[in-house]
Amino acid sequence: MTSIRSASRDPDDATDEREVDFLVVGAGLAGVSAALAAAEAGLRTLVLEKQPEIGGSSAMSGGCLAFAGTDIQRANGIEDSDALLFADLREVGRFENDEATVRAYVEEQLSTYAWLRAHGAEFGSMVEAASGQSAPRSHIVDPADLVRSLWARAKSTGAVRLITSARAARLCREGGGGPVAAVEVDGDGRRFTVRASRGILLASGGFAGNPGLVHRFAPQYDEAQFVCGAGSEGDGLRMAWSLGADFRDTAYIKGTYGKHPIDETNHHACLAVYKGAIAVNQNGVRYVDESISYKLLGDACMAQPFASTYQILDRDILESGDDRVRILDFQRRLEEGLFIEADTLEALAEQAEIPADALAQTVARYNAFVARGADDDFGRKHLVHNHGALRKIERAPFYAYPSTAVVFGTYCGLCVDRSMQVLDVFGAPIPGLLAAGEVVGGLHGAAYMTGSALAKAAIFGRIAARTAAEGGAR
Amino acid sequence: MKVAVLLAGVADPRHPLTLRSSRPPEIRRDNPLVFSPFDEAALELALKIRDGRRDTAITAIVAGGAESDALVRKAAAHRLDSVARLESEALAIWDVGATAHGLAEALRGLATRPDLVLIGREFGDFDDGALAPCLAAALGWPLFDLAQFARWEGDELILVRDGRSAEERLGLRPPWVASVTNDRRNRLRHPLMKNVMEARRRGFDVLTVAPVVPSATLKAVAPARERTRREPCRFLTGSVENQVAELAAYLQPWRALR
Repeated sequence: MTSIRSASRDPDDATDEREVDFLVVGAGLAGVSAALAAAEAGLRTLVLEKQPEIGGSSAMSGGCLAFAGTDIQRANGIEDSDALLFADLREVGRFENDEATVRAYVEEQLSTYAWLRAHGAEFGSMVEAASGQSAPRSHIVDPADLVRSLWARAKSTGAVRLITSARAARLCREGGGGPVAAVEVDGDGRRFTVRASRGILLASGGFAGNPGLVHRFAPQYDEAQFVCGAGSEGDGLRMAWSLGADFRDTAYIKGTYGKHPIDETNHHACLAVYKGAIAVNQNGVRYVDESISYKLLGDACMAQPFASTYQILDRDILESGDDRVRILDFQRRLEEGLFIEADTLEALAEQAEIPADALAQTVARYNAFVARGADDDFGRKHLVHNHGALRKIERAPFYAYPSTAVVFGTYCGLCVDRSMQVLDVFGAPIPGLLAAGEVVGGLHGAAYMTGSALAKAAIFGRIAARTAAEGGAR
Repeated sequence: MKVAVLLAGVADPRHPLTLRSSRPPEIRRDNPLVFSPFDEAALELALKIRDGRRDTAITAIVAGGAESDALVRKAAAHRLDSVARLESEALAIWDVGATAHGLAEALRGLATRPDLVLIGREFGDFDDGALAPCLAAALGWPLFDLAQFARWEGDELILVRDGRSAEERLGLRPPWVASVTNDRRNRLRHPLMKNVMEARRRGFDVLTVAPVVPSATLKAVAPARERTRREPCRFLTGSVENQVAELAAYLQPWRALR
């Protein structure tokens, strides 16, 4: 804990201490959403970004946002609702998530969708079902474009400023024990202080880029791959910890299944399993119900030999991919040579160095399950979560997609209340301190619904800005 | 068939080049290395040959110092029969003739003579394409230059390259040296994770050859001089017609140079 009064300050240099209404730490989707919403509410806002560019992990994401009840869903004949979204979020999180945080997401999601569209967000015309979704609700955007366009809107208000390459180093409380009222910042080769009268928002992302911190909570992922924004080092988390902030869901840090273990150019997971593929290990044997959350699939994969498995599919499943959805864009990966392809399962097995008889037996057994409508081995009933009928793997050519788990984000973090105020270890709000985006824990619980992390960034960012504007943070 | 693949690696173009030394071995140590497209093509050609005939044995030799061990393991991840690193300190790699003699000596030192030696059309960062012919000369073997593809026709291995107006296919009676250029048909496949993990644990030999006396002494390696533009880059703007007209006007003086 650092007192404002102890902050280094050159009284002759006015730029060593700045005053704003609202200070946002981090310029990913949560940070820019909060900055724009705050500016709309009339707050003079400063955004600090540690990296030279805005975007963070949001800009590198798959670009899926989970919304329910949208016009795009209706145009595609998809029935969805707040109630179904709430039930899915709780269920996929195995009820380990915080009900109030989930409710905050659900209650604000549709208005946030409309707000994003009003600010120029361009969603694709189709929605896809993915991890944890009973109805197709992955709304697709170019995530980097989304962050850039929101930032452009925020900047155009004239009320928001951005300082890049500026790292928030310490939170400061008024008088040592009062509300959080300032941040000490390292930037431009020196340390300066920014005071914020209406609140400080931590939108600083997770810590997938900090192997030491990940190891502390999830040593089983030491061998996993990590793909995240360069700034995802847990800065916000540690600053909040220093003030006694509580945190949750760290036991559920997981990798996402479907990353090619060798390819270095394509960071996104490929989820052919959600279109009907099965997952087999190096022995040619299924090991999991493939319809569950890709986080849980990641866990299951890490427990297999070589921490690497194969998604096995046929031509029909490959052709059911969707090139507008990164996780379902099979054709591009085929063109990039990432799929192993063969005319027979035996030839496929030979290329993948899987015992051919084992693979043939596994596929035949699975196809029999599909025909009978009952998966005796793992109880798979749908393509993904509660959506989609299973399909056989029978039409050549056959494909294998080598897959391991990749940690894109940590999806755990600070405890917050419904207004995004950070809670201390006794459950009391820490005055002046808000959090949004990946640094927040409690939404995902034990697993993860596709699109909920990126959508939560925008939703919680807006809530936090509203809290600050209404004076609720202090 | 016994195939030897010679690999060198190049400075990874995704990283800025660091030049703190004028000695090639130190320059390699200071910069992350990757296989060049030509290295990859040579390795993939060897794998294609094995795909066609399972009794093909592949040996990969990576020239370099200890900084190249990761490349050795990367090659080994393709489940090769043997891999080795050739200590490159003795090779005088700025002298193509001396290097060719060093590589030839290393190949002669293998337990079994290869029937075919595959080498990328450029061997590392210091070769501009002369090494493969020099190596063939040093071995006294024929050279098939710029191979793009390989396939078996019965028991005969056919190497394929695009000629000026036709595709050339040559049947090989070993031994041969073949330089390989990149082609969409020889894009290096991804190794299986199981083999990557096994390659991490695998040991390999480090080969040495007697120092070769170079015909020239390397005095210095320095950064290339930066070229300056005569005028800054700019986008053509306006309607398509305007852009076409502006581009045509810009190119007009070039016509006179033809």
